[in-house]
Amino acid sequence: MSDVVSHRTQTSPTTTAAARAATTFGDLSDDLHADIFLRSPPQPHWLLPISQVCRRWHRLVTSWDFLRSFRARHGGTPPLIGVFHDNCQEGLHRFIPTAAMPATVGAFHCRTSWRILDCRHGRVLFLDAHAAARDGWRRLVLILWDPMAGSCQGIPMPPAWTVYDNGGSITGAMVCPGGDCRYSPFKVVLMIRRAARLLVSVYSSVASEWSEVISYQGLPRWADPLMDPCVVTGSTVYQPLLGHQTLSFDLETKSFAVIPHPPATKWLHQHVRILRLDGGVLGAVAVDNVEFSMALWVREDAGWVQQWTVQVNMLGKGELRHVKLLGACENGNFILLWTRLGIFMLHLQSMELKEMPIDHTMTVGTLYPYQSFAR
Amino acid sequence: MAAADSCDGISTSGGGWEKTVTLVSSDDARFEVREAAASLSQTVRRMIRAGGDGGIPLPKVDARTLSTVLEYCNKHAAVPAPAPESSSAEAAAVDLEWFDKELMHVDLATLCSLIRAADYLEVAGLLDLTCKTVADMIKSKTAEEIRQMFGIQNDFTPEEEEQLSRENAGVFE
Repeated sequence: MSDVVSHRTQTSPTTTAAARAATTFGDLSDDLHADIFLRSPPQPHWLLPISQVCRRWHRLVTSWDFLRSFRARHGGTPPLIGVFHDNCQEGLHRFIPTAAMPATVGAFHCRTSWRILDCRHGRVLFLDAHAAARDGWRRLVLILWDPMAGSCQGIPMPPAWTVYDNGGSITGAMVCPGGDCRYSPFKVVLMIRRAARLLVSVYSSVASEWSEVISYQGLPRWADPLMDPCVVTGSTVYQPLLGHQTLSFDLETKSFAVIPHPPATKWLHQHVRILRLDGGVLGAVAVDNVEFSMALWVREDAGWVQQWTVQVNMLGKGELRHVKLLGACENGNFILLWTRLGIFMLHLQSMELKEMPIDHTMTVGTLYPYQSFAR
Repeated sequence: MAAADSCDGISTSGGGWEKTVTLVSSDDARFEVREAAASLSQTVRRMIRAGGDGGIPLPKVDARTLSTVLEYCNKHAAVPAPAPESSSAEAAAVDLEWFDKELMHVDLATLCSLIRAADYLEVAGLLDLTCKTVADMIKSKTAEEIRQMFGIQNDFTPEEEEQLSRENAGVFE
């Protein structure tokens, strides 16, 4: 640097005390505090200690403005914290963390009797057949759990639904028209098939009550709702059905439609999972374990459009051959794959395959990715 | 030398003529800076446009802090370089990164002054660098370690503390 270009031309003989007074951290404005905290990594355990330093810091990092900026700064895609699995065996941790966690982290604990229905926007919906102390009868109850806020909310079942066979065939989804159930009213949609009819009941967090039961007669024969995770885009719930099809239910118009899966995926050796792609588009991933290939389809107005098809052995991790679709992330266009070499996360655009720290010898049907910011 | 006007100084750098401006700190120290470097500060850029005599007054920044800010600006302002050799751009990026790292080897009080100055002067790159540095200092620390590092009093009531630890247990039990 040339000394002519930047130099002090005159030194002040008496530097004022005010100018010399050291700036302490507390002197920085709230906005500057927030500017610093915004630069924390997205995983929740980094913000937690910050929120526990003092009242001011707590107020700042739990404010809605901050959280909105924090999410925006991290691309709006909540980090994957771990996965819940649907295996209820005694002694198994239902939650498997996949992100670096502080030493205090063990596992999310929940009863083995809880059956997972849905996991969305940082909250998990369980169905429990709870034995009442009064008369010993088992009653169904829904449990909405926000592990990050440490809150667990029981939602009573719709009055006429408590008797349904331990809830074994009930499926459910959480929907939040405002975009995020933590900060906006949410709805819970329950579905069950009874003979030729599909019964649907919708719980509103605003009214704290269930809607009248909506009955749909148009379900094809044998097309029972599957226990697979639902997909939600906007106000539409997509419920996978037996027989290579998906039911869509629009909460606003209360309308139903049955969407057949792409014709090319109807063979028995194919396995399909529907998923939400970024931008709120319905997608379907299909694996073919005879051809050892995988394909992505996107639902457009005109129907299903294939995006790509790939040989799983070409994904760069060796001879994967047989793969199973374990689940899909709601944000970020990721799916989870079981392979004989381990459990992998596949990014559907970059096709990057990343091994997950999950024991692949564990028998798992479905994984429910848990993605969340701190709050 | 005495620059009478804030915008008319001329000096040489790398053999070429460059416009300079004079910045005046809160404690009346005067800094003559290349205009290209000073213009990394949006605040200064606006004041240059507005014009004026006797240098640009920056009453919220003391000389010590301003000299560090200007060190940053001088390094980061695009210097009209000779014909770039292959891989020189990459080398320049590495050099800048190294420079930034070195610049951030300061005590916390200085860092806080720099954050304030970068915010007031609107030097986006420096604000990002300093905030990131503090964020990295906070990372991987417990609440108590953070309090000690920043000299912050724990002003939660015992009840609130209990509530917080319950929240924490809920997450990481």
